[in-house]
Amino acid sequence: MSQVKKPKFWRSLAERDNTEDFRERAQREFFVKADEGPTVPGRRRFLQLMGASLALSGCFPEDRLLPASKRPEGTIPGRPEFFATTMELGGVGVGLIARSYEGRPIKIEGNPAHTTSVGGTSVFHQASVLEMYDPDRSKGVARFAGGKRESSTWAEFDSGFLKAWATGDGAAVLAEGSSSPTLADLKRRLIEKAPQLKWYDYQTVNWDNEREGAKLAFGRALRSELKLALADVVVTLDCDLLSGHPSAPAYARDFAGRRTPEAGNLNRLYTIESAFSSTGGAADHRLPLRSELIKAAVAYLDAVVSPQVNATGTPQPSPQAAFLGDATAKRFLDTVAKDLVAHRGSSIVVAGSGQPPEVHALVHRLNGILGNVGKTLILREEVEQERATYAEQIAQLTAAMNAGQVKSLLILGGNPAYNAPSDLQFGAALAKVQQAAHASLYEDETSQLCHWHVPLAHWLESFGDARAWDGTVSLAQPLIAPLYGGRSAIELIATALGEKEPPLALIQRTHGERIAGEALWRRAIHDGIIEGTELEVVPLVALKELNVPLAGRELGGIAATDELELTIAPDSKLYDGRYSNLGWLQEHPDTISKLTWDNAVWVGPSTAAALGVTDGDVVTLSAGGQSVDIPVLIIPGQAKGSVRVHLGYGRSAAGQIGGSKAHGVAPVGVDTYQLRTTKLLSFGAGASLKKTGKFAKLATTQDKHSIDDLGANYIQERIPVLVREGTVAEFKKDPAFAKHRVHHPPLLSLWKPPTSYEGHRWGMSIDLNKCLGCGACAISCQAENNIPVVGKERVLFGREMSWLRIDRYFKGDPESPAIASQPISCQQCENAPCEQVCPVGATVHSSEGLNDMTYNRCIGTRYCANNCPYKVRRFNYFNYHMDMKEKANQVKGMVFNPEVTVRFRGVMEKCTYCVQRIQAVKIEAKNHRRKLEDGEIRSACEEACSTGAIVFGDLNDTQSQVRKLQDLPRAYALLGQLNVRPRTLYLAKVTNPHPDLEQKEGAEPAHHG
Amino acid sequence: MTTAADVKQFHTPLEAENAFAQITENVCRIAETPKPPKAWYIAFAIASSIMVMFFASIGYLVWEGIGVWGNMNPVYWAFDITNFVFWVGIGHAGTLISAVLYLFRQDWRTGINRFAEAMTIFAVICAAIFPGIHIGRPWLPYWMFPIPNQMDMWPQFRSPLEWDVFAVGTYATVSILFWYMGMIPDLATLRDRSRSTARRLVYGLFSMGWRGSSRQWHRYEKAYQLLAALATPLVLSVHSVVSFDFATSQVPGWHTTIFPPYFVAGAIFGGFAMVVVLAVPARQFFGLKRMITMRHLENMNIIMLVTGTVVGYAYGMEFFIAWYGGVQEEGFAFINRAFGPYAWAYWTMLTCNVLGPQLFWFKRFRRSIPVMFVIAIFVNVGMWFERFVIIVTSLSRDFLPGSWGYFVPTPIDLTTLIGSFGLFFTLFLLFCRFLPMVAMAEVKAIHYNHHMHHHH
Repeated sequence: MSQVKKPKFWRSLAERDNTEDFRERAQREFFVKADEGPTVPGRRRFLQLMGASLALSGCFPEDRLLPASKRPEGTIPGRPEFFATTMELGGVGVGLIARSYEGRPIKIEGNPAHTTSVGGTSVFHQASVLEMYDPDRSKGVARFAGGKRESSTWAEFDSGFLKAWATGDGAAVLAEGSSSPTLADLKRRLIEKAPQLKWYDYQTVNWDNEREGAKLAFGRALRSELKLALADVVVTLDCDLLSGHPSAPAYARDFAGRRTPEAGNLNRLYTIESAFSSTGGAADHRLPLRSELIKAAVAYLDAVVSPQVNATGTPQPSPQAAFLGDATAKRFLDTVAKDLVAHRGSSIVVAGSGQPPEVHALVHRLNGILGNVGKTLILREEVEQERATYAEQIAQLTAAMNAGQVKSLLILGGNPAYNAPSDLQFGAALAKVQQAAHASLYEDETSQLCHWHVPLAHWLESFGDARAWDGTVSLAQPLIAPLYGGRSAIELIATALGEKEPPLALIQRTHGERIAGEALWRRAIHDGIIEGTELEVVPLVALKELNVPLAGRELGGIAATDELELTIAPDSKLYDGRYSNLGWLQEHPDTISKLTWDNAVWVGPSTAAALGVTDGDVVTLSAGGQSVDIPVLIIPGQAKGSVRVHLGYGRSAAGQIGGSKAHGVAPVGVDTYQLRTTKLLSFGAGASLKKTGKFAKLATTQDKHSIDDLGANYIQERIPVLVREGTVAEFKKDPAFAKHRVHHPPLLSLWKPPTSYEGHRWGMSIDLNKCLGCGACAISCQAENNIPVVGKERVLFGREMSWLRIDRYFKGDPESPAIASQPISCQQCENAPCEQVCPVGATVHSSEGLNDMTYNRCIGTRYCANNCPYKVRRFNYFNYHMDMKEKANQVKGMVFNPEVTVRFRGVMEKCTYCVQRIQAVKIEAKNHRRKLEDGEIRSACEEACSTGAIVFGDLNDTQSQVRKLQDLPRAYALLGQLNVRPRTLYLAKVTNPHPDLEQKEGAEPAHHG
Repeated sequence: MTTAADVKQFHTPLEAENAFAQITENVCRIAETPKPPKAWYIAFAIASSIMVMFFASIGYLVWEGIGVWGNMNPVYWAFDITNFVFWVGIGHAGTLISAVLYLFRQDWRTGINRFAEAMTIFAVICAAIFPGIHIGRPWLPYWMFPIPNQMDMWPQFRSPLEWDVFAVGTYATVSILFWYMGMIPDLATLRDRSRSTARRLVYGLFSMGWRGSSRQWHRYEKAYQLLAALATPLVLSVHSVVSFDFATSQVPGWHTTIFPPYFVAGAIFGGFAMVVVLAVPARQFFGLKRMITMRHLENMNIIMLVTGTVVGYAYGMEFFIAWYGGVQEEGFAFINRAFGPYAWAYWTMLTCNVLGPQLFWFKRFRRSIPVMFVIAIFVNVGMWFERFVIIVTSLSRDFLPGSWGYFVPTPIDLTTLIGSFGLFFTLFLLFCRFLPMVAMAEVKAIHYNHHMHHHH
């Protein structure tokens, strides 16, 4: 082509340079051809980009969030937007993606880019949206004087408290122990400006023991980051690694990645613990052992392992602990030692947060001598090297308060009057402070003892930052203006400092170069993380000599009922009690006990028999001079002589759900913090249990009526058929072993069910080998599908509404059973028994094989639910949304997913495979005239699952993940012998027992028809 | 060869030599007397109060939701359907007595057929209320009827509940027609004896111009025979269809092929027990001993003995098949029935239904009023428990042990159950008060036959 003369005037550089593209386009009638769409990013990416840009255009860099008076360009009403953000819990941030409809966040998913989430979430993350909309949250500044509450304003607080506090004498802060770099920066500035100010941190659930253990072992505070994907052998010691650890979502994902028998590299998990945890449920071998004996067990492991690996340093003398006289325990520990030695460099030993620093030190030593450090376990520098433990800090603060040294105290979050160690009498000490202010989400127990209460903004309402377990900083951005005019901790401290900058600018200031400039910032706020901020990896550190003497009870040899051991742990649903006003979590059945709306003292079957107590007996549980009355719940697998209580219940100022004196709402459960003293923070001996003669009804969702022997024996017969399980040896011999657990005659149907589904054929697979029973899927389902909370009375009646439940069965010896967990939701049968019996055709089959429920058509005969062999249908016995008639509760309506009908009383409901998500993606794909991609549609349960146990997809697509999984030989249909042809298939559990511990189980009862 | 004595023995249950006038007088007097016996007032006061409680309970249910009952997951049906099946079952005796025994020329039926039929209708009324109120949205039961509508909805005919709609609907229609048609000559008698205009008008309206001409009698007999023939298969079909609700489902303990005959036998059993429960006091208080004789009662007791034994056989056979079928869940469902948490209900049922009626092997007990009254009440209790055991026990423990539950009734469950008896007895007492309780015309025909035979 000949050279064209450059035009004198040009519209664009392209025209000026007369590029190929420009010339080609200039020839066209229309600049963009009709059939030439924009290059399509994936839906998710598209929405993320759109969301991020909205965040930028709408929120940033404004100080205040205002409703848009004009529709922002690019938004379509009814279409969700996604924003990356961060929730901090227990001092660790987890990166999340929030889904928002018209400025209303309603659903939380994990952020795959975040190192602690890796796409997974926990029940706490899932329920946090409900927390934000909670009508019981505090709605303004309040002043308490002379036992009277007065409404106040931020301006009054700023002038009446904050100003004087920040400059005055005897000022102190009690914060929650945040990992926020911005807050840390502000703290530094604050102390620089007011050196007299003392800053204390406290949180109940913490990993201080591990930190202190590292100090013992290495001489400095180091954080262990486990690489479970590389570990062939994992030993957990009183540690709920897979759902109780701050990094649980990531750990669970890594762990589950090694539970695919087809890949041929199954890991092996040994768990030694006093009370069942979901990690114990996932273990190949579990040894119930009192928490106080764990130290002896580790010492024994050290003594056995050290000589075999030519370890440096002096090993612990082999404890001839009496518990080793127990042949089972000895054999267990010997096998663990053998397996650890055999897997040097590819094993992990990890202890729980409740175990003392010496145990953690010994664990560090074990990992060190086994050569695991730097391979399966990475040590990272802690952010703060020098800080006292939280327990020490709160004790110091209380002492200072009692001594009159604290004149004005700002309590930033937390609820110390409720959850400080009870012997400190924090509440009484607080009375000696002249001016105390409490900033929190709720006007709680602590607020009522202070002079000021100010509302804290929810993390979904404010800018913030937090560090992941590996230290990576992630950003939080507001999805909505603070509903009740709260301020974030950052804002509060910034105000005290007299900072003029809005929080966002402070965050940008903190991170400086890393997010400076438009491009870097946009990327950080879009991805939710700031790259390259992880904590520094520490190369091999020399181990210090350890001397961990064992004394008294730690040597074991105590009869089951002599002086019980009491262990105290955070709750699997309410955490430290902060979530006690969330109905979703209160009604969520505990992983192990399946208890809702209550806590109870867990007692093992033989201990219960020896004490003469049974389920529901209210007992006086005493330890360390404190006592509470609490009902008993017998939990198989609870270590002999050890009893367990969970924290977070018995709140007197939680709200109208969790208990509130002001509203006349009785507390849910029993306040077990009373038992938690500075000497007994997580476990200790000397507990006793006495019957009061009273009886409490416990609302468990399983075994509602105590199961008689007849039923119990039958369940033992049935479990192998329902939750199919085999060993890796069985699997190698016959990968289809699960299919042979049931034999039945050929299946015939009365009528011809549709055999082909053109287009899509939805299906799901649930891998029992990966499921931990944590329940994040169930809460995710509840949030996504507007499932109502029904309350304790109705759970007692057996009317819970959960669309997805996790059946939990104990298997084998009641003293040391295994757990079989099985998530069950509608199986979307092709030959659906429910469809055949509905007289009005309210439940019908879709052309894509879904079992659709037409709520409008349902008249509520409940015949479908009777005929459903999986019992997954749920009936609205009442109108469960009556509470929203009250004006104050109307805000609850905001958490509803607008894509899902809110059901009225009298109609049946059930899992739909998240049909609204299917339709949304289908429409999106159709609009872009493209095919659906596998993995594009994810059901709410699948999305929440950290381990990837649940996979949804199109069975017609031979390349889809779900199809491949369903085609695996170990896939089986639950109750397939009924010829209902479920669309959900389960993948059988394949355990990896050590040959030395493998018990020859009796031949599996198979039913020959 | 049958002797005259045999004939008398066989065809004349009436012990006394009732003159036609006497029969008319005996029956009509009850409906005509300005003041019924005090017992009637007391009974009516009690029954109607209980009926009020019934409707109050229903009102509360409709207002609040099904949750006021104890129904739960997995026991989605409990007292509601138990009561429904119980009342439908009661309704069987009426048709059986009126139609089947009529076709078999069992003349002794004439003394009791009228009020057995009435009982049937009232029982069916009670029964029909339950499917209507047990649904979650009780204002929409008409969606189960094939009514052309602009909502583009149509019933789903594969559902046994839909079959119930037609089975029970047909049964109720035929029963009412049969009862009413049979009553026309007697209503005419009452009309003719009326002294007040109001009575004359009302009875006149319902007797449809009956004059007693031989042409009318001829038509009447034909129609009666036809209706009897039409009603007979219904005795078998209604409860068979009701049993399909269970038999065609796949709940272990429901999914049983023996259900149709077993349910029919049970229904007749329970129905006759109810007739005895009603007949014993009625003949006492209204002076009908000469028309509802010991012979009637004894025959009914024999039927109870037979059907009770059939039911007992069915209980045994269920167990046998559950074991013989070799399906784990089925086997467990039955073991659980007898020895699980609801064993008390099972053994109550078995004692009342199978053991009690065995006393009727002995003539002494068959003819003893107190014994038969107690046993009949027991049978009614037992038959209610039979349905309870089938429905609740099976549902409470089905396929997945994780979903097992234990149903406990609420006070509203109890007031609804008891209340339905209030409605039943209220209707029955009104019937006793205002309508001819015994089929006068038929009794007279039998008496005439007997008279003729006697003088041959």
